[in-house]
Amino acid sequence: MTGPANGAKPMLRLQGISKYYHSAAAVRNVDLEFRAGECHALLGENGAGKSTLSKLISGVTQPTEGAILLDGKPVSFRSPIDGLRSGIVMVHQETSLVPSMTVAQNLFLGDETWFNRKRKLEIEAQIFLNSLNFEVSPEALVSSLGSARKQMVEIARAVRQKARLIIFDEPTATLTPEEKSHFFALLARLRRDGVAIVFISHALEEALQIADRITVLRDGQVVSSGQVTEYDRARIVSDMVGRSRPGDVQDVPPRKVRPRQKEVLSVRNLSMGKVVRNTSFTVYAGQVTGMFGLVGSGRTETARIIAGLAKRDFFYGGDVMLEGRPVRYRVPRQAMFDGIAYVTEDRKHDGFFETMSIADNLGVAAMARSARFWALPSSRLVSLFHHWKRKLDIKTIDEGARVVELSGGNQQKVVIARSLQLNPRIVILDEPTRGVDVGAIAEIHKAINALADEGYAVILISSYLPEVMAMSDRVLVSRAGKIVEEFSPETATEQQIMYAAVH
Amino acid sequence: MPREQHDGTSVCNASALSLRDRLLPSHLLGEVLSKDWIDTLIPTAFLGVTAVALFILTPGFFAAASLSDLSRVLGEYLLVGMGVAIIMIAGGIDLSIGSAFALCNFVALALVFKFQLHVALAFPLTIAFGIGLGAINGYLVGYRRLRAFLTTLVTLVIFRSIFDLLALNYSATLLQNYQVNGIALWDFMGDGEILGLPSSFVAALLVAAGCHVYLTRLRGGWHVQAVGGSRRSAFNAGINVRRTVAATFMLGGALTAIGAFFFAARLNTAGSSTGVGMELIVITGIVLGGISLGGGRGSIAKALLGMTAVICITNGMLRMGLASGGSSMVLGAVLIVAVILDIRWAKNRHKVLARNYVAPVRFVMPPLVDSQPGAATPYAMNQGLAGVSAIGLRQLEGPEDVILDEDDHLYTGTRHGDIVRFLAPDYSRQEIVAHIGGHPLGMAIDRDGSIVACVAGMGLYRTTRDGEVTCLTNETNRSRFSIIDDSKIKMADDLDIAPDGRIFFTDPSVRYELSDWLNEALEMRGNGRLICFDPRDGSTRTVARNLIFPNGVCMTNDGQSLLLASTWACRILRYWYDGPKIGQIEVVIENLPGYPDNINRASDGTFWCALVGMRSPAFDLMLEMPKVRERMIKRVAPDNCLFANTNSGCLIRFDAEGRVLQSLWDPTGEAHSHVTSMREHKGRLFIGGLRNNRIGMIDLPEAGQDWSGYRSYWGDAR
Amino acid sequence: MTTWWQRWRGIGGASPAIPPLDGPYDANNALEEGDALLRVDAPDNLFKVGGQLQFTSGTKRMAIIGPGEAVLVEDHGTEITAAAGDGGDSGVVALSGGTLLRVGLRPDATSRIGTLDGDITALAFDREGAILACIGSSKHGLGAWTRDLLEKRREGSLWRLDPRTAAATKLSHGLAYPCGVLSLSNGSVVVAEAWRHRLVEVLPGGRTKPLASDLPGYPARLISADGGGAWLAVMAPRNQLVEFVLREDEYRNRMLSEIDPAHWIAPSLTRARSFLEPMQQGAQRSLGTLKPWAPSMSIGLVIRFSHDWAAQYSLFSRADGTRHGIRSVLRDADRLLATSIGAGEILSLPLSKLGERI
Repeated sequence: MTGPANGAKPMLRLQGISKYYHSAAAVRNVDLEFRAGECHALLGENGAGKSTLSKLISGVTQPTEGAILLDGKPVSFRSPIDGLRSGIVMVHQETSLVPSMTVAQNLFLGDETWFNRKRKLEIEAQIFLNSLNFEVSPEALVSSLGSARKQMVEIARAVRQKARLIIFDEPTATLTPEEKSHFFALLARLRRDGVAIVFISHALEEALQIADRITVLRDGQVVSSGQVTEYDRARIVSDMVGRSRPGDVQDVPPRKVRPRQKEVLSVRNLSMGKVVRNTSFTVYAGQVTGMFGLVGSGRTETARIIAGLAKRDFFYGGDVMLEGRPVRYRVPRQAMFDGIAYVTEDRKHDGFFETMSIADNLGVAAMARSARFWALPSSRLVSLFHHWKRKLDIKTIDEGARVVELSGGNQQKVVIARSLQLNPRIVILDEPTRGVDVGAIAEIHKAINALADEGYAVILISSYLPEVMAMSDRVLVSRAGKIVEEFSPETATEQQIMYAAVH
Repeated sequence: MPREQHDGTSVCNASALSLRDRLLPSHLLGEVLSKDWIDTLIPTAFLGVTAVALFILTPGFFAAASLSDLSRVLGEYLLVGMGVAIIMIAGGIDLSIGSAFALCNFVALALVFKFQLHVALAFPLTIAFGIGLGAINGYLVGYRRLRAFLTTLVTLVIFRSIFDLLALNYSATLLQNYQVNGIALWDFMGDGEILGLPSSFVAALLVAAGCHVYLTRLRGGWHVQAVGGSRRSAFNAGINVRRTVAATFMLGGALTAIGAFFFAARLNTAGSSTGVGMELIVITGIVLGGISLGGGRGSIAKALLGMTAVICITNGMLRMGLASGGSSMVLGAVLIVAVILDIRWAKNRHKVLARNYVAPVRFVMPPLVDSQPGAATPYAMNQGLAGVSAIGLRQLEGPEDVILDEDDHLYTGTRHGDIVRFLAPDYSRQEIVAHIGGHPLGMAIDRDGSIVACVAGMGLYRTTRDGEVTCLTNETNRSRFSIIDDSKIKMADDLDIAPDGRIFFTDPSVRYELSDWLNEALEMRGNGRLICFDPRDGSTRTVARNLIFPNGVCMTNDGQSLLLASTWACRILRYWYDGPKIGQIEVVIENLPGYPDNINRASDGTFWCALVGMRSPAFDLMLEMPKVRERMIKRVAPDNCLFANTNSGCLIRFDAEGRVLQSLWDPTGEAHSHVTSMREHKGRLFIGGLRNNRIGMIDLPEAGQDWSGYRSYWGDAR
Repeated sequence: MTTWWQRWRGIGGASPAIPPLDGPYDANNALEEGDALLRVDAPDNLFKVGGQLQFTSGTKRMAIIGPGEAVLVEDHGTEITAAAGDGGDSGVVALSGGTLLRVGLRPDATSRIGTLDGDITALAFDREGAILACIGSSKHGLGAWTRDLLEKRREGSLWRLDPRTAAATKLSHGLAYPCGVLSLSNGSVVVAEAWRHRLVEVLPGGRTKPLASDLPGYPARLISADGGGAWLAVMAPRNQLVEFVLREDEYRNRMLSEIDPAHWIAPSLTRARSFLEPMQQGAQRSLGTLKPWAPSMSIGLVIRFSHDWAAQYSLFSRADGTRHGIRSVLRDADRLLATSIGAGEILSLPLSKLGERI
């Protein structure tokens, strides 16, 4: 998949770029080139400076040293508006859409005509979204969309602005294989139209598949940069972490599927609006039950109903039986008391308390479960912190560090620790390894396997098929709001699972 | 049998609609719920309850005189309130309006009485003063990015103290001489009426209309909502967030000044209690209306409804002699109840909508014709399609329709949104002609050899032979009485091109997308329509309405009429688009044993039609019981719902008078399980299937060996 | 017991839910991949008499004398509805209408025992040699089993015929279409109540105690397995649409009166053969293939129960298979035999492959 002749003059060049956040160097002395019609992948662990670089290029922040040359001329962007005007568009990792407005309005945000008819705009938006094979209804409010569909609207907005250079920050994290294939086809079309693409991702095999040039960053510096042909997975990983690290999801040895123990949870005919449609399945202890499905197939909503975060239909809403006893939770607290822990898909949004330290986060969880403690001595907090630090290998200096300063992988571990603190019977993990770098993924997988081995019932919701196949003892496939089929990872192939998910 | 009917109602639905269904069609509930103005349901209901309560508790409340006084006061409040509403939609809040109102009132009186300025000059000056006050708040909140709540709390105190100082020192001298320059305008604004409505109320309505257009149509309004919804996203999208926020405060100041001016004209006093507590009443009204404190969500209509309710309550309680403490206590209770209802409604609306959107209707299907092997009818099952060979087996997904050009190349559409060409003569090599995105369904070849295709969810598209795609139309005229916006073409299915170039295509449903097309079969309601695109002037008109799932379209050879397949009604209709019977619809074939999909011409002047599925007695019986279908949709998972049998289908050939001559079957379903369309071309028949992974091909020895669709439409002109 | 509150909201007992096929009922293709011993029209009622394997096909009683070879033993002239072997040299056969015959290896050993009022759906011998007979419904014969379901009848009964005097005593009545009976070593009698999807123990005095309920289908004949437990043949799957129609009285009555029984919304022993039979949305073929997990009115299913009547595992032929309508099973040495009425085959599955202790 090589782009046009590399001899073409670089559209954008970074010379000696550095960015210091009150004396800490996020990016140091970076030289990079981006050519028209070329897909350039920026890879690196969390905190390696990828996002900072993308913010510099798009004008969200300004470099401390060095120059940015556009078509050879130095430019300085004071705000994203300048970036947009010179054709540089960025698709942010955390969504930058207006939740209270419709998809169509968001798509044209910033460059509406002075007088717009909502209906005409919605028709135009429908055509444009369809031409990218993104199935999103333009009349819907963005707040009602799942994170994957928000990502689609973000991508559509960037592409619509006829940019010369588009920066995609983790674009495929939320997409499932079906949507990914449409997205890659879109990238191919963009490159044919001479658009330069910056692809920032943790998914190394995707970068290998679609990029022409790869640059690996570590601790804010360029470790290596070159044609995609010079790279393979092992070299990228070793460049990223400075030494080769085992435990990648690809090299996990095929293991024996855990047998099912006693039935813990049985869901019968659960329904909620058009999202969850009469779904029925059973979950057993001592097993990882994988739930795979396309975007909008209702897996997250089903989990949220079970965990008391959402309410099923009043009439014919179906039943949830916890060890044979029908339960109906109005608030998550009740579910927690019954031992059901739900680790959210959108950890930044409702995963942890940003302003509180790690120890406090854990402390809150401990107090929530047991009515006895109405206060916790700080020594108890510290011991809690060390317990989970050892168990989940959370890399941080001290328990006082604020969670928001941790890397994606460690944040996820804190959220998991907070849920496990309730010593639940059922742990529902919703896209636990999204936006987490390779090393941390292996550790989270190790923690999940440990949970199942200890007899917990683990429900793993993931859109990344290799992860579902590697981690689950049984795979439930959900389509249009209903679990349609159960596969055993030993016998089923990825094509079979995809067929069940699509048709 | 009813022969002509412009509007397809009686033709498409032979059985009489139940009276209840005709008076209050059940599909209206679902459609009303899907509109976004339904959010004002709570405030409207609240206003209704308040009116009834006041009518009972305070006799004479609705007497003409008291109503006009009330609406005069209401006008002033509404003017101020709209300013605050826009500020809140932008994510801010303005507590200083009470004091600003008092100051503007004082300034107005000063200009008119003390400085003897003409009223027509004093009015704009007061507004300018109001804008100045707003600018102070705007600068602090917008540019210095201070918290709106605290800032306006501070300005409330400052403005109030300035007003008290001025009132203390100058109020006496202010009103010495009553001589007003431009007294006519002054009195008009104070007590005048237009068409029986107080001037301030009319002004409020005008401003409301302006604000509504501003918020829903103009770029500035959208930017206000964007900033209110998410300040950072607006910033990233290149909107000048600071200026927008400041502008909303200045607009608020202006509207407060207008309200104050009307107040001054009415009362001519600058009492120390002017505007005290106004912010509580106004903000209560706005929040009651459903505008969220967090910003981004809300509309002017909601604010008006909310404030009207609140002011009626406060006014009503004054009449009942409740002390002011009592009225604010009641106000607080009212606010709490309203907010709870609003949140609960916003959360559950999508569930109620999902449950009630599908609205089945009664439909009596005529008795089923026997199509078993050896039956005496032309539909008897045979092995006609057993010998079908497959093209592009397992390489295609969803070739709904197929068409061939003069060079015998084969074109079809795929689920991924591409138009694919199989190269003659052996159709083993395929190439992508163009990528459109939506799933291309029905196709036709135009005089210049370009392919015109109906694309699901997108409309009508033309693709030239070298792959250049242009959109012909994606919007038709909106029908007057339809609640949902049926101007958008949701699911264009098949088309055909008239000799004069006009393109007639069907839009089977105004209520469902392609992914929900199954609901149409359960509804049996005339949701479909026939649309005509005229390339000569680019216009798109809906020419026939209330058809049950109109699907296949094919021009007859008489140049005046076209055949139309009404799938779920198992009928083939004829629509006259020219000639004496223009605009009329009549039934050509009634009571087919299966569901007709695409219709195309055959070599001997007859027509082919694909039956995409066959009727079954159990489903026909359920069509007569709409309530059963409604319960089934609500209680049974979609996959388990009863449905038409679309796994076995056949092709039939019939003549223009509606006599079915022949049918071709594949009883085992192994050779070609699912058929939605067929195209005859030079002695061979090519078969497409919406959910199939191949194109079928079979020889027709007795058909015209050199007959081609293109020449039968356009002769040899190329 | 469903309260009115549950019935109004359609939850709990009033919920139209059916058990999903997971856990012990985890779907697989064991029956479809098993090898066919022989092909015969509508085989049923496998039993052993004098060491010889016999089965019934319509009115004929046949014997299996080798792989792929069966020979007619006797043609009884009327439909045979049930049969069972006493473990020794003789067996019992029930003809439509309720007449019971004692049979042996050759036709001349046939003798008449007595008659019961109604088609006998299942037979078994208890420890003392007495004959246990189930009458599915006093109103409808075996052939009209779907009508009995759709008319929501609960008129099945269990009888015991004294080994010497053949006097019939009624053990229990008001059963929901008993279609399988088994006498356990401890003397208790287990009956498969088809319309209530459960296995119950019939206690002295006629009351019943549920042993295994909420089965995913309509249970039929069952036989004991080595080391306790049992094999159960499930003749048809539970289907959410059928259970919905059972609640819609007006639709159901008109369907029963106006539509041909072959085209009813009802469980069936064979795959849909004509497009006049009802189809559900999930059963649409996409990309030319029928999904194994598509909803269907017929299935091939045998369930293995442990000694405490907990389901252990099950053998399936799913929606895309042909070997449906399995109404009787028999354990013979190291293999399990099953009769598939839908495919017209007798299947043989080596027990070793199923993880059984031989």
